Amino acid sequence: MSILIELILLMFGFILLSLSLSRHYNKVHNKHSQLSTRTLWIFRVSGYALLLTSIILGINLWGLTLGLVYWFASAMLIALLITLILSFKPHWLSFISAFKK
Amino acid sequence: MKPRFRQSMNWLHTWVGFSFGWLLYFIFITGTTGYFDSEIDRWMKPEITVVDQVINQDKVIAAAELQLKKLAPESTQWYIGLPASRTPFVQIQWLQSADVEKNILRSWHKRYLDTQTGEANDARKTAGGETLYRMHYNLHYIPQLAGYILTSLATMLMLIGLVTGVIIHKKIFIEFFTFRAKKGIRSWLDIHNIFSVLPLPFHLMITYSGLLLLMGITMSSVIDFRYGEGQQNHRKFYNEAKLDIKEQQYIDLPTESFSLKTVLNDVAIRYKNHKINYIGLIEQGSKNEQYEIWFDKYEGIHLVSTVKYRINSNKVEIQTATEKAGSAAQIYDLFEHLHEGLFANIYVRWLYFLSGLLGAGMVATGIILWIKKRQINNPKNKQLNVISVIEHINIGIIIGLPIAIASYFWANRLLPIDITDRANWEVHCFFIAMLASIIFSLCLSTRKAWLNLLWFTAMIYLTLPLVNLVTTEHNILLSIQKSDWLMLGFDLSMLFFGICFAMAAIIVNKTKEQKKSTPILANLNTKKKLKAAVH
Repeated sequence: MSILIELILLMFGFILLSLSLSRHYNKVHNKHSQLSTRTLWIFRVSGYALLLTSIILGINLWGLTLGLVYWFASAMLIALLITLILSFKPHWLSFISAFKK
Repeated sequence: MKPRFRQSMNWLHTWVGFSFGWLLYFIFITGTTGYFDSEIDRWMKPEITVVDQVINQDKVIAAAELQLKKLAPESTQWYIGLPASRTPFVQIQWLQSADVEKNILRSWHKRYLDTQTGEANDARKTAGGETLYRMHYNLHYIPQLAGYILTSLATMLMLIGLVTGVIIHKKIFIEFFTFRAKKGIRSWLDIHNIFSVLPLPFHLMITYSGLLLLMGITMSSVIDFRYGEGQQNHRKFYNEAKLDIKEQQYIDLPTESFSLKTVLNDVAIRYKNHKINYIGLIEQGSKNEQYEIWFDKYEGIHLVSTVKYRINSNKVEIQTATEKAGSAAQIYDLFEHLHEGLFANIYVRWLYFLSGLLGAGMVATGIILWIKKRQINNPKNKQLNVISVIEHINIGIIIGLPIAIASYFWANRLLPIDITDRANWEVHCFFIAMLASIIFSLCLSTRKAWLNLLWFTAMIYLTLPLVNLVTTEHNILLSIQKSDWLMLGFDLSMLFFGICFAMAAIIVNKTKEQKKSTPILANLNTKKKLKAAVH
């Protein structure tokens, strides 16, 4: 069960990080614009914050070594999944969009 | 030398990767199968009866001890293995000491206990999961020492490849999630980056720890320098380096009643929450006779160590080893356990497996990139050229290895049961299949080689569960009924891999046919004909 929470945190963390890059954001939303610096930083900081939370959660739950093993393994899996989604089904991620300027 | 740093690193990355690429691919794939060695072993020994209900531990151990007394009365060392999640059966093993008069070599024997009847059964002779994963560091046919040194060298170059790869990859963060399909060489580079960067922590760990694991061999001259040459001197080094911190205590147990039964009673009280995995008797009949109890319990990634019971100056003494005394040995242990992943549950085990495959994919795409880049630089001339020979051999190896592994499984089921050297023949089948697919690939155009080999691989994986159904009494439905999860998991995995290869074949089929490339051997023939015509 706790592994599921870690996976969800990693998932949202990586999605936010990937969308903080204009390249992926535009592909997901079919746009051709530059992300505003504000959104970019909101995405990026919250993305890293979620990753950090998941790693701390893992270490707390399973101890330092095992926590890190679980985190790296799960991170690899989720990053792979998001790469696949971004390449073949990018609009799946369109539920996250920037605030209107 | 190349003038700029990144360029020279690029050069190093290219040639280090290419020169040992095929060997590294072999190491990655066969090593990855090692994460499921027990599961493979169970499939390759269909005679084993698994324990599908709660057993009466005392009764089973008594039956096992009885069998051991019958089968190996003179053995000085034996083990009883109790059911665990990855080995759900009872096994007994004993050491046959060498006997020069009767021409018997020192060897280990193994039987499987039927918990219903109490009989000890033998399984078919098979090389099993162990031989398969051992190939990734002994390379099987060559002398052991040469295998160790060659794999160590490949590992060292892999590490160089990883470090230089990180240096030359300029946009490691920006391209973290990037895959651009259908862009030719760009797509291959993207895949290569994804396979390398996403599991990078795994790659670094597995490569570095791989180097450490064989350091006793590659760095043996360092030990020679300090301790002297020869096995006995090296033993001194290992005894010192791998010293355990031990805790000893005497317990209230009369020495007259010191036996397996009383020991197990004491274990049951002292270690209430621990499940026993192995029970061993060491140095039977000597003064130092002792029982070893191994628990099926991990703390983090370390196995909770063993407990030893023995008689010491008329008292029963128990001894537990907590951890290694030296910090170097502790670090070695850490990396060894990370490398082997014995602690991993089913989730992490599959991710280990996936990471290993991604590593193999990284090497394979690296070689494909090497070939593609050279083909762009020197457009194909019609003559036989080295690059296209390499391209064909490469296809034969990339697809040939999965074919070889499947052939290994097929051989296990189809080779006659009583053939001499059966286990060895399984391995021969492995390498024959690999060689055959390389030759096959050389005979066809690249596109046809990819397609035919992929379809063939899909077919032999998809039919493996069928072979299992026909040649043994096991099948997918029965495995569910008997809750034989390892057998079921293996059959389903084979179906899954078969589907993956079929999908790969469909994808290759969909891609547009590039400029027609003619098969090399045909080329060779025309060339010979031309020469003949000239003469």
